[in-house]
Amino acid sequence: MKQIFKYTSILSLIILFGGCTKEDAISSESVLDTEKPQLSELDVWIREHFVAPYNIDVLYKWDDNQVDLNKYLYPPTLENVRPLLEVVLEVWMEPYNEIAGKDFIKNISPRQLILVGGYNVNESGTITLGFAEQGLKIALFNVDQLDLSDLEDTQQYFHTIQHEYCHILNQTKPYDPTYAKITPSGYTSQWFGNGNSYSLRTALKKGYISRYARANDFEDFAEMVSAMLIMSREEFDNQVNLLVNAIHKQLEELEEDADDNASVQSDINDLKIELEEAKKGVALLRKKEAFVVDYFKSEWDIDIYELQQKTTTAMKEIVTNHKTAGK
Amino acid sequence: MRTIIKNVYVLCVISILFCACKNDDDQELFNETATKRISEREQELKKLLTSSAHGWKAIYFTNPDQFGGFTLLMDFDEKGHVKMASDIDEDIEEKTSIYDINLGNTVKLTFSTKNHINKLNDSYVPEVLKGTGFEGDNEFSFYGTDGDMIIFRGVKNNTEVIFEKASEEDRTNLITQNREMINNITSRPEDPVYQVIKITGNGKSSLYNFNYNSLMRFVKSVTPTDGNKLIERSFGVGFTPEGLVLNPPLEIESEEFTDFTWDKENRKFVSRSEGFVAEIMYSNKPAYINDDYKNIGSSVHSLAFSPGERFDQVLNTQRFREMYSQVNIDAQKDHPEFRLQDIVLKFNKQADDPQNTHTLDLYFFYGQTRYFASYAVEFKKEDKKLKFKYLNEVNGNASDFKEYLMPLINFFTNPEGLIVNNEGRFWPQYTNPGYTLTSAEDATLRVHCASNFYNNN
Repeated sequence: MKQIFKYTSILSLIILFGGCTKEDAISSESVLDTEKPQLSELDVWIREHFVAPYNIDVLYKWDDNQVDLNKYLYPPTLENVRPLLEVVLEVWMEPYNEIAGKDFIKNISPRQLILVGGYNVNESGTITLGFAEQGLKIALFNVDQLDLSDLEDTQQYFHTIQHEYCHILNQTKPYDPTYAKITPSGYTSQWFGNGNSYSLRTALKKGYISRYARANDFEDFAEMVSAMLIMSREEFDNQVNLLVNAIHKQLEELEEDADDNASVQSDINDLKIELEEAKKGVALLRKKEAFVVDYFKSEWDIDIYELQQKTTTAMKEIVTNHKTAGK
Repeated sequence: MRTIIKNVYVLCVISILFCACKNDDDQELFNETATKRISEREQELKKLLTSSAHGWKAIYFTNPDQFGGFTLLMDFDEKGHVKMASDIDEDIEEKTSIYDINLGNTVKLTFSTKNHINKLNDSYVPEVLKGTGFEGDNEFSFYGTDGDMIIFRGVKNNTEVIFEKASEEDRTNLITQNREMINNITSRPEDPVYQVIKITGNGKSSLYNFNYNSLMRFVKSVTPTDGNKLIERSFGVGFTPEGLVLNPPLEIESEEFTDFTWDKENRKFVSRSEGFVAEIMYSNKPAYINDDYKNIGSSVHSLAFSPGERFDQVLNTQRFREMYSQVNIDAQKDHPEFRLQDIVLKFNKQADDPQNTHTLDLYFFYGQTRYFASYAVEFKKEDKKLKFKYLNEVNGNASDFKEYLMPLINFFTNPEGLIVNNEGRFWPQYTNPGYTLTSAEDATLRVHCASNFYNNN
């Protein structure tokens, strides 16, 4: 018995050791193509000016993982990429560098900047100009349509960048939630609607700097910041007082033909009531402005008026340069 | 007993040990690892794309249920650049952009920066297709080859695109020739207004409507038959230097027609199948005359053409407008102050009464004053057409100016008659329908009239 047992165990041991097949040795050669990819001139430039100094990668080649698969979008034209990025450096990065120090953008910035050529049209008919996601990436649309010799067009584009960057700043260091209590009742998801109730006139009366600012307090904050950073101090003051000034002008014109005309008199009275509402709107806007100034100073140690001066000067220079370049 | 059981146990253990390490995971379905296979597939695609001396061409039907085909001419180089031209719109200049070979569901070709192909997935232009554009794709999954052709499927919509090798001739001429062919499918002033599909075979021929939308490159043909049925066919149209390619093919009378050749002399596209001939042509006769003529003379009591009211709109054919202008020019030679104005058919009440007839009134200015020349006409409906017969002059102006106005009088009183079609509201803000009257003898002459703008007598 013991013998059988002994032989059985030896046999099993032999089988165990020899039975299972060996695996192939790992080859030293890779099955993947490990050749270094060729970098184009543009790619090298992007590495030198975005990746190395700011740790931001710029994606301009089509990648359907970056955008909504349900939308019909296209990548930018190759020739438009570098001019746009040069302008981005001058209007966005440089001012922050000068005011807040060289590492500011490097530490608080999106890791990816995605450029899309076409319009991102939504079901409501609105167009998404850009989005910021989780503080990690900013996507910019309509890259191909940008006309750098047109100040309004350029302002609109940088409005988007400053707006999205503000979201990223907020996602890193949130603002005081009491901001939402300044104008709590005017927020609406139908801010893009047609008609009087959704017009800029109404928005200003209710204390919002733009129609989009009425979407929610998050967008409101970003709209305030971006408005301040694309308009000079004077232009911004004009925007805040836009409605008040317009009503004053209308009143002047009407008072000239007032006489005894009853309907003109009634129009004047209506305007005077609107004027009071507009002034209330201005007061609310100034309150929001103070909030923003305070946020930048206390959280980031930045004087936003200084930053404003740098960004708006840079923008105007670019537009002038592109105009004289005969574009 | 115990020994037997013990032996059985031992036997079981030994057999389990023998089987335990039988490992068939090594049985390979493929000779190589997945990674290697993907890598080779990428190389294969790259090699294919760069192997054609003169590049590739493709007719891309982005959505065969809604749009036609757009031709792309592409030349890929080793460094990742592609040169592309297309016949999508008037901008036919060749552009360079980047392409990449990436891995998605399978190996795919990506057009990484913008080029002609992106005109098909622009959600902003054209405006009528806002949100989707032509539903084109940017990326195409590689599905293998078929002889000399490469087969792709769009990543988003799964529509098939086939790349064919382009010849040297293609590189220089394909796009310009296609653009010319695109012009051939839209009518010229000398073409009759009816564009039809004519199928001839088995000793008979039938006509079907050809409703072509040039923006979408798509045909939605709906032809009523006399049996109160509708024959509906829809297909997309792509262009070649020789003619047309239809996708899906046109199916009529259990025959399928795909490729059509342009017959320049006779101005038609022809396709032949087993004993059947399909032609897309301009015809003097429409495929079908509808019942719009029935209201004329009853609820429609007048039809007026006016040079002021949208004279240049396309429903007034160029040949008619030329005829109208010529009448003016000829009259002004003898009467410089003459200026022709509205032409009105009045369906008068009690026209059976010998005192009253229907009239064809031609209004004109003489200097600052407005007059009209009135001609009595007999009116009947025959073979679904309106037929007016010239009777006599009603007033002095009619006799005085008859010789100048004859071409227009002849148009309306042609014994072959006029074919009527209700074109919808004449003015967007008023409900009066507009009707076109097309000469049954010469369908290059057609006029668009507002109904009930004038009163009858």
